[in-house]
This record gives sequence, structure tokens and C-alpha cells, in this order.
Amino acid sequence: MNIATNVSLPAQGSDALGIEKLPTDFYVCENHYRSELENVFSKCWLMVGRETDLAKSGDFFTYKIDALSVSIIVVRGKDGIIRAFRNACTHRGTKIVTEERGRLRGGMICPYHGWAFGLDGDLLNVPDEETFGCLDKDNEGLHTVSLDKWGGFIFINLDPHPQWSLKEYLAPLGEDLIKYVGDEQWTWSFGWKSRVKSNWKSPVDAQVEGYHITYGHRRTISRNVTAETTRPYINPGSIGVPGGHHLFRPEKLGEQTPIGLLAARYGATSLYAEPEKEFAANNFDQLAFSQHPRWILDGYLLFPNTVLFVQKGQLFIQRTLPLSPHECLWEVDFYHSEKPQKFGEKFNHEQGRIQIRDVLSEDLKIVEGIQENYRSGAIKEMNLSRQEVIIRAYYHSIRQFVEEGSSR
Amino acid sequence: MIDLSEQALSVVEIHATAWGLPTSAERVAKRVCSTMDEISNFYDAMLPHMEEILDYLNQFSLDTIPDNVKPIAWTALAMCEVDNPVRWKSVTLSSGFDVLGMVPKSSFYDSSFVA
Ligand code: FES
Ligand SMILES: [Fe+2]
Repeated sequence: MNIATNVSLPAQGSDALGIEKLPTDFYVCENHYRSELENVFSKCWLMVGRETDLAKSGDFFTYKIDALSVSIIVVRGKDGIIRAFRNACTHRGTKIVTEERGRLRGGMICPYHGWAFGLDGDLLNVPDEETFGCLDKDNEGLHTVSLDKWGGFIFINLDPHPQWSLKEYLAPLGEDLIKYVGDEQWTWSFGWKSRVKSNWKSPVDAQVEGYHITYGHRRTISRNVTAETTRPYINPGSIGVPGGHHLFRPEKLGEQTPIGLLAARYGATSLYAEPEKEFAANNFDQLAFSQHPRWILDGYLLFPNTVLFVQKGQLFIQRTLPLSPHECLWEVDFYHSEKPQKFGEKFNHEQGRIQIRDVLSEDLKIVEGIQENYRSGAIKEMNLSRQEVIIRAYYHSIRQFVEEGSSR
Repeated sequence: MIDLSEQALSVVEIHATAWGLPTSAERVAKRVCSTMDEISNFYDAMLPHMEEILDYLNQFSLDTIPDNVKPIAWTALAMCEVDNPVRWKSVTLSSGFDVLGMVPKSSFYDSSFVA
């Protein structure tokens, strides 16, 4: 796709989902929270890792959802197939692995009594097997968890029979993005984690609307990205990807710092400056808007808890997990297509990551304040503009799950 | 291989003791516990030499920067950390979350917390 330089930007959101106020109780209500755990986190596809991190047979990582006391092992089998299991021994429930990642030799041995499972989950050996009155080893394999892959990322679903295949779920993202994001060029380069005193949905809200950028980020990013240059859209009918947005630079860039300008010579990690050197990135040119001279990135809400930002040579992923209605685990992770070879590139990475960190720190401070005001009952309803239409779409998706759950 | 000019070298050497810290985490911690005066002094002294310092460091491949040159690289990286404070005229943002509460991850899977 080739987009002419003078192409007009897409619309600045829409009223298609209505204009009424929305209640704020779904950020604070205990019952609603429990229903989300049961009906959203237990039914939806969740991004848990990357295929290339499980290069060899026996490579594994674990994924935890503390609010549900869920622990999962994702492991590549001898047959090359990646599978997910409950991290729970079928003898009496011991956690089989405690590390967050590693390589298993041959199989998995439970640390309590030594039951041995294959990388495919089958129960292979039980010490003193004859002392069990009746034990059907064939039916005592590790409990499987639904797993599928998209664009090189591994997703799990706690529902043994997910309502949608992952392919259907993420269909709006399209084939070109799968090719781009799925390329083996991507390597994890850094990330942060934090415990944030807000509902798990609020950091998502902050990454899917651009309305706040102009003022909320006036001390950081708004010189080069503004509400006006963020173009959100919704995907009506899609559960997995309720909406997304395109980010463009304004026609005229704001003032740059000397350090920002220096860093921009060596790479494109910062949103501040127009980079002089771009990253090489495979399969990039097919992406919509990638040829637009002012395009910075595309953002996608992957329901329920992930926001994926796609740039040239950089992927940026924010995930949240609930800890309570009022607290969440927040994580961001960066992937890059090129490894820095020279100091200048490292300098560019460092500058870019610090700028983004300071931008995110503004978002996190805001959402913690919001939580208190919803919790105290000071604000019972929120007003949403057209530019915040994805939050409306997000709200409707959450409601749909919670209501379907309560009518079951 | 072109060496650093004596002026640039003497400036980096003065500041490397305080700011030439090996990791991003140490550099942000240093920023947060510094005064605005300390930050400005560092920034003002280093800025005129930054271009030269980057050109100098770019002569090495990143993996093989010699040990005695590394503090120069770390000191240059610390300039990224103080860039915003200088612009804000404030060490931290009152409108920002505590940046030390944003803990660097060691991998995509490093998600747990010791509460
Ligand atoms: S609980 Fe695993 S072997 Fe006993
Ligand atoms: Fe923001």
C-alpha cells in the first residue's frame, strides 16, 4: 500500500457507540471485579510469551494470574509442539516448576514425591506405583490449557473450549500485521513492571485514547504527538480487538532538546524527534499508513488486558493483571528488530526508553488518582468524547462478558 | 582511532565518578537522589562535548568497548537521564509516578514481585 504524502488522516474517532455517560462502578465494584476474573480472565485469550523464546525442546516459561491463583507452564515438546499445562502435579497438586523460565531436560519431575511427566504432559513414572490401590496413569497427565499463536506471540485461554479461536479473536489485525510482528527479527530488549494502585483497566484506558496527550503529557511527549494527531477507530463486532489508533506527528514538530536531537541521529526509539536513521524492519512496507511521512505508530487494544504498539523496528506492549479492584500488576515490554552495534545506537535506545518511561509515569500517576475518586464515590459517571471511543468499545466488551456470565 | 580532546576527557573524568554508573537502574537512582544544581552542573559541563564523545565511542564496536573507556560511555548515557529534569527545572515530575517504582524487567517473563 502506498499512501501519498498529502493523504488526509482518518477521522478523529466516532459517536457510533453513543454519547451517554458511563458508570464508573465497573472500576471499583467487588462483584463486578469477581465477575471479570470469572468471565473475562477465564474466557479470553491472554498474551503470555513469544515462540522464539522457546527455541529448543524442553524450553519453558511460566505465567501466573495471582488473582485467580493460576500458574501455567508453557513448554516446547520433543515433537516441537508448544503446549500449556496447569503448573500442578496430578498426585497432590504441587507446583512442578518454580522458575519463571528455563530448560527442562527430558521431562518434568514433581519436587514433592517425584512423579515424572513428559514434555507433552503425559504421566510417565510414579515411584512405588504398586502402592496406589488404583491408578490409571493414562488419565493422570498434566491438565492442558488452551494455547494458540499469533504473530509469533503465544496466547493461552483458561477456557478448555474457547468460544473463539485465536485467529477469529484477533482477525481485525489482518495478515500483513501477522507477517510483520511474526518475523523472527524481534528480540526482547527491555521492560518495566510495577504495582499500580488502580483498577487493571485504567492503564489500558490511558493507552487507547489520545485525548489526554496534549495536556496530560505536556511536559513530555505532547511536543510531537497530540490529541489532534491521534486517530482512533473501533472494530464493531470484534471481541478480541475492540479498537485501535494511528499516531502521527504534527505538521510542525515542537522544540527538541539537544540530547533528543543527538539521539535521533542514531535510531528511532524515541517518539520525540524525527529520527535521522530508521530501523531496518522486515515486512514493514505493507502496513497501512507505514508510508505516511508523519506516521509514528499503530496501537491496538487486544482484549482484555494488552495494548500492542507497532512502530518501525520497535514493538511496545503494555499488559496489566488484576490484583484487586484497586490494584494491578502493570508491565511494559519492548522488542526491537535490530540490536545496537555502536554506542550511538545504545544511546538512542537509552534516550528513547527514558522518554517513554517518563511518559508512562505520568499515565500511572493519573490512573491512581482516578481510582481514589471512583472508589470514594466522588465520581460515579464518566464523560467520554469521540476521541475516547475505544474506551466505550472496551466498556461494552467487558459488560458483554459480565452479563453473559451472570445469565449462565 | 581518534582520541578524545583533552578538554572533553577532563570534563568526563570529573563527572564519571558520580555519574559513570554501569546500569540504567543506577543512573536513574542517581538522578532521583541528586539536587537540581548537581544535575545542571553535570549537564552544562557535558553538553558541549557530547557530539565529540559520541563520535569517539562510535569508533568501537559496542561489545568491545575497552574497560577503561566504559565509564565514559556510562557518563554519556547518564545525560539521557538528566535531559528531562533539565528541561523541567525539576529533578522529578510532581505529576509523575515514582520512576523508581518502575522496576526493570530481566525478560518478558519477569513479572513477579517481592511485595
Ligand atoms: S504432589 Fe507431585 S509427586 Fe506428589
Ligand atoms: Fe498517556
